[in-house]
Amino acid sequence: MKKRILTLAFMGIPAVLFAQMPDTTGIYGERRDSLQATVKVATQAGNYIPRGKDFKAEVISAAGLCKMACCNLAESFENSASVTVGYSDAVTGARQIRLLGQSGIYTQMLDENRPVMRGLSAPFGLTYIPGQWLESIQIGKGVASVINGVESMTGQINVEHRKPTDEKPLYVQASIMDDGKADLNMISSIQLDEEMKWSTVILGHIDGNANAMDMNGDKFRDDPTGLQMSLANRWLYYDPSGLQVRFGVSALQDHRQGGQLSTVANPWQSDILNRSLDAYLKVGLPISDDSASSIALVADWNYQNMDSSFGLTTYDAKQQSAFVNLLLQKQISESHKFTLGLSNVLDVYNENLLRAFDSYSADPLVRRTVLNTAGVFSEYTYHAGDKFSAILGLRADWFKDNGLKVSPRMTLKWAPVEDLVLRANAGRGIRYSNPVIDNFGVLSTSKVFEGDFLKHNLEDAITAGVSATWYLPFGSGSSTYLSADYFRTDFLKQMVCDYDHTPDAITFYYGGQSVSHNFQLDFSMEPVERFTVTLTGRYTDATQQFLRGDYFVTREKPMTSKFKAVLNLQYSTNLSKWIFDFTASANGPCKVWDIMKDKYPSGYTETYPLLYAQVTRRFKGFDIYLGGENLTGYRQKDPIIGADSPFNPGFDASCVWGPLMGTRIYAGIRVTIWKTDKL
Amino acid sequence: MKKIIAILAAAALLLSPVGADARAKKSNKASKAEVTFVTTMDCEKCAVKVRENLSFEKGVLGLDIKLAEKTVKIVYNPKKTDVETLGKAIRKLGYEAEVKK
Repeated sequence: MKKRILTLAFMGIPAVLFAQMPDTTGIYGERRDSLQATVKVATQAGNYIPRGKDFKAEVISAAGLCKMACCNLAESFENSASVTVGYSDAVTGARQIRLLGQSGIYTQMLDENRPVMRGLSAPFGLTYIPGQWLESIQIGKGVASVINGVESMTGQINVEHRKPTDEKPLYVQASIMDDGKADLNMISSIQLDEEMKWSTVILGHIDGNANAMDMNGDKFRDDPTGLQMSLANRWLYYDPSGLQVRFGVSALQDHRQGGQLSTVANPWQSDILNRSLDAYLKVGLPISDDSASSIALVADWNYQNMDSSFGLTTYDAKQQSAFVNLLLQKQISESHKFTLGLSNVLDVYNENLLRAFDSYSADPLVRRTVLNTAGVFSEYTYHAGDKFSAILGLRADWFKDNGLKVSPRMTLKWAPVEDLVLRANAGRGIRYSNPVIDNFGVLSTSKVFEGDFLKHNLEDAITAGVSATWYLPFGSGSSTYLSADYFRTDFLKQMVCDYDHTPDAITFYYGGQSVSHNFQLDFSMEPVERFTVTLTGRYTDATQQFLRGDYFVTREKPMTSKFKAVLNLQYSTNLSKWIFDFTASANGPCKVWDIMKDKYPSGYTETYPLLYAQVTRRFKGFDIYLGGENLTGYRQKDPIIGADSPFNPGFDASCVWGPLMGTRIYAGIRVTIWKTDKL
Repeated sequence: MKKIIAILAAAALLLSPVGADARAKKSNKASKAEVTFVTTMDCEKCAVKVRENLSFEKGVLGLDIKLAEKTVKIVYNPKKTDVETLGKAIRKLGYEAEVKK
């Protein structure tokens, strides 16, 4: 009975949902691939490049997310050379990524192909997605499909949550670090009826850090103290007719306190309270009997409230965002598919900024900003079996106050022989800049803001790249590959946040081109059964134009690491009862701002190593693990400039390029209760 | 450095049962049998569920799950378990399981 129902469900899935929502619900998405290929179910790889996809993606699997403490999304990229994660500043704990040598604000973040982490939710967004809530993460470099919007400029990171259809009524994970940071996740997937028409997943998370540590003696907390709680409920309804509906809500509260220790007289402190609510709805419906034509609606509403202070500066802001995407898809034949769609993105900001420090107090800024982007798009996909595919997309978006912009995008895949896949990708991405929020670290300084820091100018970039992935016939498993890629991003227009333009000020201005070249090599193999070696390396060459006097001057892009190399070794014993993970990375130097040259006479930061190790012991229904982060204990020396007098203009906690925390040991437990079923 | 020593010591402590496992296996080396079940598992997650649960069934020494063929080959210690118990363990997970002939 169960089998028959699942088969019906698979046949009836609207094709458009595979494009818009490739959720691996465990019923259909994965099953289709699985039955096409001979799948031998073995230990899952941590990070890998899957075969057969039109877009090249690096996947961090559930197994990869268990390799480390992975308390949140920001900590899930340690095995990836593509993504570099750093701190926005040495005070707030806000994390930021870099992809293709550009800030993470140019990488579109997606939650099951729904844009998230936009605007106010961006600075802390990476720390607000618990790693244990996730099933997998897909990292795609270059511009993505036009279907998900125009904001993807250097790439996309899509997260897949644990599914309502997972046969795990209860999953609990708890971990603790030796500095007192604790993390608890509880997830419950429930199928409400025998036919699995209705299913839901409830995800809860709480983490806290009660200890104010100051290991480097600068009288500033190394990591903020605080408490974060979040709760989400996601639903899936599907009908054998092909209708499927997904909807969900989530809520979050995070209160964090950083800055000088309370023992300091008149301390410079930071207090940030973030609250958010999110609701979404996705509906997919076949409109022809053979499911060749289908429509889908994706709608999302998000409310974000941030009340924050940084010394004497206060920044209180609210953002309401609404996103709607309506798609029509027609599969004309095995080879030809068309998608047409309409979209609208609305952001309403209410901000109250009072910039103040010792000798300076700016006029309070109170304002309401409305940004809207309405778009129409079309995508044509051609498949010639597994040999060749072409995806040609075109968007026309009307940006409030900026008019109409056209964005073409193209992705080609060619497999001249079975084990070699060549891909090319190019296109345009556009977004509204959000100068202060995009450069959140500037609030942790005592510098005057100058220039266009209140403007939401459009940023406009073209990214193009090529890649080759060669699946090699040696090694114990079938997962040996060597992959190389090159991407180039050209910003036609970009907001620049310039620390060197004027002394004791941060200057924002619009204009100036920036170009980044990014080369990467990935190699993965299983030399003997259950022993996996992954080696990956990235080299980045990025330049940016800065305004000096009346002219733009081209300089190496500051605070952008030139390279990253990662070696990951994993060994598991028979039946994966023991798993040993070891990760080593070398993180290359960054060009520093001129204001930092007193500390860095060469003009560059130093290359530093990071080591991680973890041992996992697995039992029936539960795993325990013990690990260590940053085992060499390397830390950026004196990350805060002017830490002695934080209310003076020389104070700057945003020039961070390396680890702020030393070696940390953690231990955790994962408990899984599986659904049992009597036939 | 102290922390590294601490983690190495803890890892060594955790590791010690590996040796014990190996010794136990050696003594049972002669007691190996294998059986293949044809099941109704039809998705990758179903196969993961079977793997995650059967790996920890008493007497199971090895698993080879082929989703395309819907088969589960189990190497087991006949002194500790039998075909009927193993079949029951698969059926308890919600899948039919017939011994492949």
